[in-house]
Amino acid sequence: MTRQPHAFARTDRTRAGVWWWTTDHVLLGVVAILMILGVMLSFASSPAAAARIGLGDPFHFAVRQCVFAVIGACFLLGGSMLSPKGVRRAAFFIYIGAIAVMMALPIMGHSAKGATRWLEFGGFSLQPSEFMKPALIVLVAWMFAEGQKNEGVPGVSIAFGLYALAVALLLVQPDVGQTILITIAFGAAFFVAGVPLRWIFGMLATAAAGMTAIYFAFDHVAARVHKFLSHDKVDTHQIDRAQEAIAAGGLFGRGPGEGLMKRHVPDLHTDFIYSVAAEEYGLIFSLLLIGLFALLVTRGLYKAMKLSDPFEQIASAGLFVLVGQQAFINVAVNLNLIPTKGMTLPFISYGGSSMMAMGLTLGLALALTRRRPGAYTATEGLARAGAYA
Amino acid sequence: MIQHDIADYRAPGRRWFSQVVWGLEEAFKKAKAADQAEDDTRTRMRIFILLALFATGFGCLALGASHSALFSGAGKPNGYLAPLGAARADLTDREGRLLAVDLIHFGVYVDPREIWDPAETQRVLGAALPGLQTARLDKALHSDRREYLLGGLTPEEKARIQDMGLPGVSFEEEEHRVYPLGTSAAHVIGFTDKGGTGLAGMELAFDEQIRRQAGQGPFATSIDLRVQAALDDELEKTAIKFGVNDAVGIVTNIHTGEVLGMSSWPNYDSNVPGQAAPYNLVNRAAASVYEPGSVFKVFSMAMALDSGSATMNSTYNVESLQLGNRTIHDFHAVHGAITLPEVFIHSSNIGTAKMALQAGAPTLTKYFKAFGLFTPAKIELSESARPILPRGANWTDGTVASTSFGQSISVSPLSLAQGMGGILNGGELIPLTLKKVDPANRPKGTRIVSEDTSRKMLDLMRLNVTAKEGSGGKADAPGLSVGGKTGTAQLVIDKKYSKDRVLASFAAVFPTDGPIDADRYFVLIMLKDPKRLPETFGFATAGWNAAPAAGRVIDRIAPFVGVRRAAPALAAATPIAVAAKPAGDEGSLAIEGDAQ
Repeated sequence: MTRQPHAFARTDRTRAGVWWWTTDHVLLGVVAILMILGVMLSFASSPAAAARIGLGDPFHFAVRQCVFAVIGACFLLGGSMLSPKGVRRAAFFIYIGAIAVMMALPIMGHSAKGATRWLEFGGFSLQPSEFMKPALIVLVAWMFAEGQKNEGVPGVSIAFGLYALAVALLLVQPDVGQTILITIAFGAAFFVAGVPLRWIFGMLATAAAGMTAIYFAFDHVAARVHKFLSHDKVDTHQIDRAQEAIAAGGLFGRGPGEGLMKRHVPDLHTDFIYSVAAEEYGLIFSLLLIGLFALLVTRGLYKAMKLSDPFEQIASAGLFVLVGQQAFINVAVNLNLIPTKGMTLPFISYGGSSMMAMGLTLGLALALTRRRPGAYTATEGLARAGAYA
Repeated sequence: MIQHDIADYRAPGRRWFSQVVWGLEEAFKKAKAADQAEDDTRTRMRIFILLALFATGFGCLALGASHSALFSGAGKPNGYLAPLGAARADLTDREGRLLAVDLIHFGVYVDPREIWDPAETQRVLGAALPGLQTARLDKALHSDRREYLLGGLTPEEKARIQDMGLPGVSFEEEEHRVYPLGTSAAHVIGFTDKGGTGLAGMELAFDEQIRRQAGQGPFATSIDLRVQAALDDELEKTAIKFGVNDAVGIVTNIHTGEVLGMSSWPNYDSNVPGQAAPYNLVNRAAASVYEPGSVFKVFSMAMALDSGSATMNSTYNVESLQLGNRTIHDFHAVHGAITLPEVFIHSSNIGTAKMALQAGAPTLTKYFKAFGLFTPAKIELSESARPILPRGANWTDGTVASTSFGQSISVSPLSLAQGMGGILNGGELIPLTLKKVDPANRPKGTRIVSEDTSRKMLDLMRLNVTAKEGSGGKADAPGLSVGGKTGTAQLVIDKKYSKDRVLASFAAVFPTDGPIDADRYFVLIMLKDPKRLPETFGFATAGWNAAPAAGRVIDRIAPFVGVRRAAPALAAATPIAVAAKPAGDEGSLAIEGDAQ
């Protein structure tokens, strides 16, 4: 019996072979499963969504989702092949590009649902802020790490400057959801970078003040918070339907394609895809979905924890936080645990920008967590490193 | 030093900015250095904290998802997705037997954009759904969006269509109110519209409660399905036999005010009220008012006895009564002076009118008002009709005389049931109800007559059944001590009292024996325009049609309501009514012997 040789032998020294043996297979596998689930769910939700909008082709969204998934996978693979230096370089150019486009949005942007966030070209609309997020996190991680080196680079100031510019452009659109996302991810990166505890309390106070300011400054944010706090009398159509759909799904679901919510609720293929899935496939599927995201984030942070270079630690931790919090917030909104916030479920929700940006985010994170000589400390886990000693 | 390079700017603003930046960086570095020496471990520790936070967060999400999916209860009642209409609680009778229930049916939809073969779809759907209009199907098939075709499909019908595997045909669940009894109790149960809103009967009366209670167990009504079925059955048989226009039957528990049965004929099927003639939809027990005729003498006599204007021994000359230019007649001519019980059993209009005139208009109206005859019967049904009263507050002698034997005043059958129940239950007027009453919480009524008057009225009712001349003899169910009063009122046809067409009523109570607070039930049968049959010897009077019907109803329902049948009396040496006479009521019923 001759053994079939593995596609990539351990001795394979080609670029692909090296990539395969150094990239974390668990993370890769989880992302692949999520993308496939996203495409699968889009086939269930697309006809209803297309019918609502009045598109002739019932699989309009499903076909596009397939295309997006392929492009997203390319972003992911391309990103994950970069070296840490390449990651920094890519982040720098993406950040510059995204910021430039965001500045131009008020002039050439496409307005929808009360905000100017999209750039339209050739039938596709692109949301530059989605790509700005991972780039910003990588750049601030770099700056924090540089700042620590005591080589005179004013890292913290530059990081705050990059963050402030991004927030300012987001609030002009206005896009409070993305602002909150990058604020949390930025805070996480800063936290990991070793910010003293008393600074953290100061920042939390600032964040609270900022939230309050947002609440008073933007009517739609205030309305959503009110809606969440007072369940009666206000129109909670989407979230009520979501609750009913999840309850109707029960343990095993109504069955593939049998969901009713998708015929009644707008934005079901984007922000409320979780509820559609829970109605058709039941709690078992929902728990699988939550479990996959939990695995993705914890595995990613675990890898980040064991890295030895501060930049790689901070950047990969920040990127995984970025993905994880978005999944968390989306599911929590669907379960009516937090106020409604329009946010996509990474890899699952319909949307080109979201899919590509998530592919990029995970690609950069995978690149940083790849096994390279000296990337990981020799010791495994916390105990030997002395955290519990 | 870099900070010097940065600071080496000429503009003061820039200098200030660079100093701020420098200060920030220095503070960060200092704070970091002071905080902990082991940078590496601290970073790991902090990433681990993030990891732990996320693990906890996703754990919470898993719990939240489980709760939402399994225990939230969202979407079941009043749901948008499952039912199109609002869900309603089941209606049951007093012992949990189903009267009305929400069942899941299916609405069928077509989406022309998903259909491969429109011609085939049209042919197959048209054949499978006979209730579907061709034009509607055609319109839906040529639409540019998903269209609703037809609702109310049973699971079998849905499965049949689904098995055809037509693309573009889909189903959605919808709640559908089903009345498993069909025509039984239809009027009192009522019906709902397709959206699940009560439109008639108890469905309307308890609409809000029924919706609120959806999913929390059935809504128990006062109806006893066995009583209702017997009542429906006897009423229908009698109505058909005598060819009546319409008929009413009511059974109440006079101590609790609970309506155990309420029947109106002609009837309809609550499942398809739209197919019934409008005439059939009226609940005549509640929504119609009738000049009831002699059954009203129960009220007049209770008034006279209770007010003290008459006693059981009062006598009345019933030869003639002239009021102005009007002469009052008696159906059964009796000559000379007769006692009050004789007035009752002979149903003497003259005697009753004289009795009422003696009491006077103020007393009569005071009592009639207390008996609830001037207002709609107190019951949850919104159909409960307002009576038609004689004009003016001050009644003339003519009005007093007419109303005393049930003319010139029209009340609903439910008003009769409510007022007579109050007189016969010990003397307290208790509002009627269609809700099941907890036996431990019997409602407290308003006193309208004394217990003594109540007792006397029970005895008079019984006497009317047992006495040879009594008009209610055919209502006597063996061993159940039935009492009752007939009423044969001339119908008003073309604004004139008809000579030969009547409303025949029998107001019965059973059992009349036993203590005053013993379980006791009231039965009312009303027949509008019964025909004269050979077997009734050409009579249309209540004693020949309504009374036997009431007797049969009582005979059938007594076991259901738990009234025990007394052993059949041995051949009595004394007349039966004397035997039934309660002790200590000397003289009141002594007339049988004398009168014969």
